Amino acid sequence: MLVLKTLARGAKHGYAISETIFETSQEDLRVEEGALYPALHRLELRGLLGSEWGLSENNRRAKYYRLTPAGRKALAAEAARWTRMSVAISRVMGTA
Amino acid sequence: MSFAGIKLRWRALVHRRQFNQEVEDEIAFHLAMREEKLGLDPLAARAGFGNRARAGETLREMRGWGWLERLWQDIRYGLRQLRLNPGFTAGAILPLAVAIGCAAAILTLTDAVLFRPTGINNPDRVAAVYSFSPATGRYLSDSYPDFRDAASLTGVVDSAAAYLRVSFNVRLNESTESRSIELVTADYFRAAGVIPVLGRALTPEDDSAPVAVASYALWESRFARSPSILGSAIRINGAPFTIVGVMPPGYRGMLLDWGDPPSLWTSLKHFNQFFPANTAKDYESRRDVQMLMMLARLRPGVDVAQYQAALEVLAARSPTNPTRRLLALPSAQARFFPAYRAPTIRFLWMLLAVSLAAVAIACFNLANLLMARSAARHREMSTRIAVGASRARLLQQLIVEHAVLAGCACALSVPVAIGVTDWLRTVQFTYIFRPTLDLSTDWRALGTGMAAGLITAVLAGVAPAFKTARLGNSHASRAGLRDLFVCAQVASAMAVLVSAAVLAHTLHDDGKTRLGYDAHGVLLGSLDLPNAAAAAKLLLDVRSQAEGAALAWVALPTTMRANTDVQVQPGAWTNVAFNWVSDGYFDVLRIPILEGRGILATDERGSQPVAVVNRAAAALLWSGENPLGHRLRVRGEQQDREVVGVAEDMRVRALGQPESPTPYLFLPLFQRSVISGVTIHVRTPGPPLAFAGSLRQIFARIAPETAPPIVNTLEEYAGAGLEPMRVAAQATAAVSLLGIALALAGIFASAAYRVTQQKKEIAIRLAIGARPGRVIRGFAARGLWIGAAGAVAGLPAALWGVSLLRSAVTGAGVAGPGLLIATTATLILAAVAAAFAAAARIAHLQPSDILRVQ
Repeated sequence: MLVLKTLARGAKHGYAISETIFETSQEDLRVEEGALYPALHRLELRGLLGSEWGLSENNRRAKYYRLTPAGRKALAAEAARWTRMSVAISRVMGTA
Repeated sequence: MSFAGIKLRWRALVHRRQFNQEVEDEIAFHLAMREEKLGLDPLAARAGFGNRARAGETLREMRGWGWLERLWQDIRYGLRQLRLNPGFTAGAILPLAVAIGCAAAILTLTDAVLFRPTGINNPDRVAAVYSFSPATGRYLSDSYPDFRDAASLTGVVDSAAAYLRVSFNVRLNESTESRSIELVTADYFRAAGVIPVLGRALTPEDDSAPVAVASYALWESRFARSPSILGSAIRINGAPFTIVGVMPPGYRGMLLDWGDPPSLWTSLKHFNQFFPANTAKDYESRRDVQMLMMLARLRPGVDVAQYQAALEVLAARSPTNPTRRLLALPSAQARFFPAYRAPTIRFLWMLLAVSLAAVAIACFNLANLLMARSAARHREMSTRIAVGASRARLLQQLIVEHAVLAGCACALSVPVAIGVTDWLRTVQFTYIFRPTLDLSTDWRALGTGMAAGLITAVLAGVAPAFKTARLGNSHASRAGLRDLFVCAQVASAMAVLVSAAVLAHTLHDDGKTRLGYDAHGVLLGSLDLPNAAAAAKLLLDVRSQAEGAALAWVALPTTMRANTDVQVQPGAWTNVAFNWVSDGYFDVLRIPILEGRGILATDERGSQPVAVVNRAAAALLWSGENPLGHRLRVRGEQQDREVVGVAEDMRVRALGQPESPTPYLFLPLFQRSVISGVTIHVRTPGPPLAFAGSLRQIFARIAPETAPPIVNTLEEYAGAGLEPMRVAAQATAAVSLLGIALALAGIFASAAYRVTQQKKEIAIRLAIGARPGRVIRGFAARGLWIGAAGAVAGLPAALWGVSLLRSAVTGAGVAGPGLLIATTATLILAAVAAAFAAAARIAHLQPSDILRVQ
């Protein structure tokens, strides 16, 4: 979900994705690099991400990932589920 | 797997190198970015990332096809293994391919005889109706009044039909040939439920019209499937007919065993026109003219048992012949004359059992070879486990290897199966029962046979696979398992060998028994004659060129015999076999006349009606009294016949024939009202078939309008009765030889393996003074034990096999104790010899050399 969210605003390569998650979570969340690429490839195999090769900001060949329409739909569904879930959890935690 | 996933995986598979490069590039880019952004040196960047090769591997694996890909790898590995060990491959695959091929061919035969649809619609609603004589336990054909009775039960019967299959000269497009034709009653096609592919079927309105329906085979072979067949004019026995329809390709008549499958169908109403001189013109009202076959289509919801009950009620009400009753059989059980069903099924069973024994032998051989290889691959498996392969993965790989092996055997078995089926087609494998089978390659049976073979072969590989994959197991247990497999091989070989020996013995004995006639140097020609004058002319002409000639209604030694009732005292009818023969018959066949005379040329129409009986008939009818001068009445005839001679009995060698000679009656052919289809017996000066040309020429002069005679030698014709026994003998002999050869090879290999394993021990024993002969004897003793255990274990199966054989092939002998001891001893001796041969190289071993190496 986090990966999908970072890609919502446009295509990124793997390193940029891990950076974005790290920075926007204000350095609370760090995606293990060993887990990131398998996750990207899995999402790609499930048809949620597309990919193409392009040039990076420092002129290197990099693989850019972007959301497919199916990915966008999945993100919306996941986000909705997450909101419901977190509200429910915080309610339980609040009453306890 | 989503569509996108399949697409990406496919790309990764097809452009494997490019994909691998991309994975590498992606990781490299990531590392480079880390280096740059975090200012790490390359080593530190890598350290944070983790195992780079592992990461790449994970990504690549995700693009894989999972178990499918592993399976493909295993298959390729298996094929490579087979290629690398050609000796092992040939030894494992060839016996298996032959065995599976034979089993598939036998299944094809069984399917064609018993199960392949005959083309009738809703066959479970169709019953075949036969006359049955409870006194003699014999099935008989039906009379026309029987048909009327069976059809009258309209409460249970939708439609009923009677039919008669005959062979006529048919003139088609300027050429005349002999064709099988069915004369049928009006509702025949309705009862059979066959729908024509072209034109129409015969209907009740056609009853006396000169129209006929053609078979698909005739349409295909003589009309090139042109629709112009409809309305085309043909001549049947000279009478003009028009073809109005074509039957579907699968329909070859209801019965598989009544001569050739019919080419044409026309109405039974033409019977008297086809047989102008017959004595049964009034067959429609005579219960003693039993010449028809019958079928009935039952109403929906009525089963054959209910129909039978209705027939019983009818029989109880009406004054029919009390010695006969009508018996309805489900059509699936009436694909051929019911009396032949049981022996035929038993015969097929026996062939099937033999072929299964062959498959078992080949599988034990396979298991044995795999065990041997498991020892050789010990090192390979250890290495694999050491580098991290799981046992389950190894087991999977081994089982796939065996499946590949079995798959190759199955592929190879296809040509074997086709070859054996072709051979079976040429075998006249039964005599009284001579089915006209569609023995084309049957993929259903072939597939069943191969699937069964594949499964058995893979199962046979399971135990060796466990042994191979589970390491650290002692050699002793592996060798023990091998011995067990070899034992099983010996046992299977024993089971078949005893049957083969019994058959060989029986055939040998049979060659020595007297037949009661001399078949050597006699040519048979079956032909259709227009009239009695032509018959007389033919005899005269043939005799001028040969040593002798005679005509007979049915060929000798006839199993396709006709039966009739005769009475010696009024009211006491007895059923005997009979034949119409011309003068010279007993001379040509050299059948001794014991009393009185044979049939003479003067026994013709208008002269005193006479008969010759054989010794068995004389004993049956006059209880041993001299029958000369006695009178007898043949059912349906108006006058008594006087017995003028007694002939020696003949032995008929055929499937299902009783051991005792058949009571037989010979009547003068020229006293018969009609002479048409007859067989000429010619005693020829030279080899019988060399005379065939002369016979054809003479016949063409006398009857130019009719099809040429079909010739055969009497020896071959008479020997055809032994065909099932010969087929059984060949099959069992071949399988037992295969089994013995493989078992001996197994014993040899097993002993050789043991010698190699125990080299060190042997060397020490030799070094401290043991004599080589003694050591060799030790190994030979092992062979003795394996051989003896296998042979004894195989004995019950062998005895069961012989009992199956005896029930399937009439006349097969018994497995006496002498024969059992002889086969057991032979097998054990061969086993000892094989073990001895393998161990013999001990004599050449130099203990010092071995010990130095070890």
